[in-house]
Amino acid sequence: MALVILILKIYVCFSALIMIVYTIRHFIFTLNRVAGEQRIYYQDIMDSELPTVSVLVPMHNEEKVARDILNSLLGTSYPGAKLEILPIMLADNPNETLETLENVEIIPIDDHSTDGTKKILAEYAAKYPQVMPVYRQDQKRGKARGLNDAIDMARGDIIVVFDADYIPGKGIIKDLAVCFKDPEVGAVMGRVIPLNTKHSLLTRLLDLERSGGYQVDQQARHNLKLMPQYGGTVGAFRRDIVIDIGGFNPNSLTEDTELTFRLFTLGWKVLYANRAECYEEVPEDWNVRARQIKRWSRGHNRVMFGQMWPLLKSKYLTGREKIDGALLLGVYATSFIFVLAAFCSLALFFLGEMEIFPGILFLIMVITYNAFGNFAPFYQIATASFLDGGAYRIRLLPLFIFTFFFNLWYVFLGFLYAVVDVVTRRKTRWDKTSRYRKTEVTS
Amino acid sequence: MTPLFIFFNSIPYPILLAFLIFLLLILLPFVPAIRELVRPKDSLALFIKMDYTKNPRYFDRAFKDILEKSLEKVGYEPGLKKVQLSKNELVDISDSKVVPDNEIVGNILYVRKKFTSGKRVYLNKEIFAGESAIIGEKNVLRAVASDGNITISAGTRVIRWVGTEGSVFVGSDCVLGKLCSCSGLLEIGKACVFNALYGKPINTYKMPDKEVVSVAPKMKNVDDAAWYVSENHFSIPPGAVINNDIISKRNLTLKKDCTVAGSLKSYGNIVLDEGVTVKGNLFAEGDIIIGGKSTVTGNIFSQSYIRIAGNVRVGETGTIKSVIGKKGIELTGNTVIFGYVLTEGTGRVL
Repeated sequence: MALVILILKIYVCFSALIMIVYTIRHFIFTLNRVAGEQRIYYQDIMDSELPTVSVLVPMHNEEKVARDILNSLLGTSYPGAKLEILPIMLADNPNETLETLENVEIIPIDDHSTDGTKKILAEYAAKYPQVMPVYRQDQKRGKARGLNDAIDMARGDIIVVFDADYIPGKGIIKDLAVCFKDPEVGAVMGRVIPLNTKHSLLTRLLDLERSGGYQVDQQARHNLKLMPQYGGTVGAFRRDIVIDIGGFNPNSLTEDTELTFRLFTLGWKVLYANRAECYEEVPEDWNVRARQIKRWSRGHNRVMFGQMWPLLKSKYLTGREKIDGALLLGVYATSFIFVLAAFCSLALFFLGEMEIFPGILFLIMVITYNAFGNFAPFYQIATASFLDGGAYRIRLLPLFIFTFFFNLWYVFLGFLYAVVDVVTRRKTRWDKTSRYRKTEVTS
Repeated sequence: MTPLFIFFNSIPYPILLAFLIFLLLILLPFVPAIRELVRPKDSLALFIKMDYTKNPRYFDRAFKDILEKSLEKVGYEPGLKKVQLSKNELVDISDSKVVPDNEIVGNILYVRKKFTSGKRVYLNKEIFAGESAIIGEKNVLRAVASDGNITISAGTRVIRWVGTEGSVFVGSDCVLGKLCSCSGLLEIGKACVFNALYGKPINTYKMPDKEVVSVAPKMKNVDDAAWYVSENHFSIPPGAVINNDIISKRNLTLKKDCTVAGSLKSYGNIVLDEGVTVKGNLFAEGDIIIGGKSTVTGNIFSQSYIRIAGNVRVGETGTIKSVIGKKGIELTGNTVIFGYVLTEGTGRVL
């Protein structure tokens, strides 16, 4: 029994240490944005010789949003007209696309749609030669698989990816593509801003969460030369590198995170472009959000199991990058660590062994953590909101207590699923996020 | 007496009071939160300017466009006209205009043909000149736009911007505001200060060759004879020809007459000695120092300072390239840049 109690106590101390490390991380990032030196991104570079670009838009039953993204992409400007936009649905006649490369290539990827998506894509393809859909019906479904098919047929040096519910602005393609003039950059990530914020409590909290994640977290990592994350949408990467590393892993639920770490461990850099902003639709339904965050946790944790060792032994990364990378990989494992620690604490309580440290020290630690530790993520979100000029939305901060418990549970479940995936080597199935748009935004 | 009342009655009052204060403090932050949720004041999506694209010719073109749209409503006859811009403004319309020395002008000027100002004139509002604008010595002006050439004489201070479809000729000791841009040649004199420049190309003042600054040391170093790699420094010997990109985690020096067909990136400083040619871009976390008679065909980007010596050429005819130094940029004479120069700090022509 004594050994069990010792193990329980050691685990509780370990989990407390992990929480403190992540707290410090929150503070460092936030303080960097408040008072640190800000590195500039390459968006101000004006260059008449930019690389050729193909835009990929994975789509599965996207009739509610397809027109918006296609209209927005057709309205973008790119110096030298070297853009191609490919919605993904495998083309019957691949030669068709070769004739229009000199202009613009938009590749929407229709992945087993059963609604009106195909019809919309056919309509745009007939009207605009730069829209060259890839139709996928016979192959296995999945975002990674669809992207791999489209990358094979795309001819741009740079691949830009948008999810179907996104609404890109006019200059975003150039802002993303210009960073590839830097010979070390393998991928870039832009900023996502929720469009349907005012729908409900959930969408308003997600809006603040996104602000914290991009305006503070990603930008601070860019400033501190750490590891900004490629997020799989509103992002771009070099086509040849992704082909060289064998494309996206079709069994990955977070192919974006996997690409981030594969690039970094091979010596490439991922940049964050805070000004490359793009609207997205966030889940309006708690069930949809639960599935989404569980999928993210499951996929991210699988990436953690596969990429932690290559990250730590990479010869291209600095110590700081490795620490940040490890913390980034472990971010979806913290819920599991925390929940397990809560159960351990309960066990210790009923065993009458809760006194791990001398009473007063323990009290000081608890009070200090409650004063500053729990405050850290709130401080980060409030700072992000301040930087974004959102005055009254900061008032919603106390309501994050609900999403804390909500996220804790579903991220915890995602971790367990990931463990089962790895142990049983089972295949994963892509779970698409629902769309809510009722009217076209760009009409 | 309900059980709840009995329960509360059994608790000592100080403890009950402490508990109530605790409960109040816990719940207090939720009041504004719930208020914002029920009666939202800030629930719209964050604003993205969807039609934004970077255009260094934006200011003068937008000003001309807005001004002419307003003038169409009131007519172009010479004289003072009240027009609605961002607020009500008086616009002085004329065919040609000469402002004498030491005058203060408080209205927007719309001049169809030629605008000329004398010495020490204060032009507190924007000017548009259809054919050309000649700004006299030691003027202070807010902004000037033109469809023709603009000449800015020595000692003039621009508060906001200069922009024209023609060329701009700037004398010595001028301050060029936030942006000085043109569709033609932009020629800048000695000791000028700027934030952003755009021209096709940008030329700094002519300087005799013997005055060209070089960054090369007078005494011979070991890296003048060999490839040199230390913990902090990586240098490439004189005359080397490299056909590849170079990425360096330390300071990077290219010695005299090196040629690189590729881009350079350094986590420290980049120093190009005299006569170096880079057929690519330069990116550095530290300073970028370019020695005399060097050529860079691509962009130059530094998170710190950029210092460019004389007789340097950036970009090529018919291309647009950028020189961006976050903390500051220093240019000397005989420099030619095809495109755009920008700094968040201070730009100077030495």
